[in-house]
Amino acid sequence: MKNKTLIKKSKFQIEIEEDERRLEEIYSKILGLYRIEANLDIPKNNCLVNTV
Amino acid sequence: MDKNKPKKEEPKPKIFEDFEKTYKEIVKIRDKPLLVMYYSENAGEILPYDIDALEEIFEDFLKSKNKEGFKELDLLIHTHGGEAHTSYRLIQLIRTYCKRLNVLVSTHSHSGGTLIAFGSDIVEMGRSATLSPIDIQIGSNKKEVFSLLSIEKYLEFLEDSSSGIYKFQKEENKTRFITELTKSLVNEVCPSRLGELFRLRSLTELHSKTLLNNYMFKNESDKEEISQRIISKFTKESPTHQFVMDYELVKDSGLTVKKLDDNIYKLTKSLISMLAYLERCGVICNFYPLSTNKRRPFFKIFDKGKNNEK
Repeated sequence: MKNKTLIKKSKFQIEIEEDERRLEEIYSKILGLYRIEANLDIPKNNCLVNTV
Repeated sequence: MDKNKPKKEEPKPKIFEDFEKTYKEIVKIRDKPLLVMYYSENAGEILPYDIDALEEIFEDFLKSKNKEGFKELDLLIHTHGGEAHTSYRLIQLIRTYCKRLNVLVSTHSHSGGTLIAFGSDIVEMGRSATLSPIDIQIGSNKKEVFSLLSIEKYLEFLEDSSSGIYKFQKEENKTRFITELTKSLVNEVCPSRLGELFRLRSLTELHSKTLLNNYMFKNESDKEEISQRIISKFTKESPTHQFVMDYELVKDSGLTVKKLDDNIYKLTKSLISMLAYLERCGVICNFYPLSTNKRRPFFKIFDKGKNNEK
């Protein structure tokens, strides 16, 4: 049987992953608050988007 | 299973080590905290929800440090832009947390991102970094998107060709020529949308003026004139919406800009590359719930560790 080498996550990797979870939580809360679901895929009209 | 869908890569553990080393070096050299606002290259867009999200990031950070704000803050930004009003509100929000703000651009801060840079005290640009016009575009999908600049350039073409190329002797022939070509413009673009573009342009100009007058040129006696000249360079005088402005062009516009120190340029550019890699691996910037084409941005404030804190 092969020995699986477990790579221990660094403190910083855990921090970045936790930040991402925090952002996910924040955005889920905001989108829930505004009751925004699938309509995010519809482009807005007043965009300052550069398409370069 | 969708064979065309790119597989997520497993992030190499060394990336986190490199990332940590890089941000720490930037913060150490610059001797101030660093806010990173990274939007996905292909699926990132400044959206209204970013305001509340960024506010929470600031509040979390300041609470953990028992602080109320920053004397000076560096903002490293990477974006192609997005919603116009949100860009203005985001920079105003950032300004409530810091007295002095330096915007660092090592890649690009286009369109809405350029408007954000207008709210800084100084823009520092890397040698290949670009800003862009702050021209409004509207349209319901990418194929239909058009900008006010295209319309203005068309009207300029009508004027130039009627008096230059064709040299109409009689005024009535010139008028007929212009009327016919204006009709075809109105056939292609609904007049109400034309009106909307001009209305949004004046709003963007107002936002730009407010930011430039309140921050970058707050101490200048002729700030109104300076701001107006800059705004013209970034709107009417730009050749196209896709036009990009490097350091020389930005400097020529009158905006307060300086070249990023070479070492900081390399470090910040490398940080952006690492963020793009982490996005590809699914570590950051995941899709919004139920969205298939828009990714959340990555916002984080980096500061010296507890041991190095002043």
